[in-house]
Amino acid sequence: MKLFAQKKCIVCNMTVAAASRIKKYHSYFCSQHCLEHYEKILSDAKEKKLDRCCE
Amino acid sequence: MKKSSLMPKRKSLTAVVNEHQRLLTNFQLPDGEGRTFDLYRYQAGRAVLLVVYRGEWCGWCRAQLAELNDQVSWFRDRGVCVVALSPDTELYTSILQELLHVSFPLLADPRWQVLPRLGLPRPIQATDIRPAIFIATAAHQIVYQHIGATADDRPPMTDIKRYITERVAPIY
Repeated sequence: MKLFAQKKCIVCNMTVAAASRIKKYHSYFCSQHCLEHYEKILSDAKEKKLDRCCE
Repeated sequence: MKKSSLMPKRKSLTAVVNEHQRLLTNFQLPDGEGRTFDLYRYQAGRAVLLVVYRGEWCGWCRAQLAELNDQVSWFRDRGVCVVALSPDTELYTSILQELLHVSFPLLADPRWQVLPRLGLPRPIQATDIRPAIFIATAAHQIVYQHIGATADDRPPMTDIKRYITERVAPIY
């Protein structure tokens, strides 16, 4: 049984060490680059850039 | 939002299911906050309203989840927990969780492990994913289901509430 669950980056799905991970938006990120990528998607989603239906 | 003229015409499938015919079997899926969700553990003896939404990209689904979030306490007060599930990836499930701030779990099933078990086979095109609602009792029996024929074919909240008041809450 694992005492500490491994955390994965929500963007690139890589396992991230406790020392280097960033926790924001209820998710874990391995780097600033992945965090910025997430924020870009979030920004697009807020602007309702629906690209597959409902248009 | 306009309905696409290319959308195939299908009949919606609403059924009050025979309580002895179908069980909502347990499953584990990642939620929008990176944790593993276990349905039966989360239910903990409560009935469940399981909403299948098409994805973060679907405007109708966003509106439906926002409406549900506004009224989630009504369900909780009647011993019904609310869970929503889609074929989105964990990333887009997390994005939607962040956008809507829903207080119930959003689950990701990008590998279609659970959706086919609910009678929702994987379509060829993502836009053909059908919205659905299932109500299961605390004993995991599916007593109501509505599988939408089109993207905007969803039962009104009043109908869901009436069904729960008459059929599910008394059982609980």
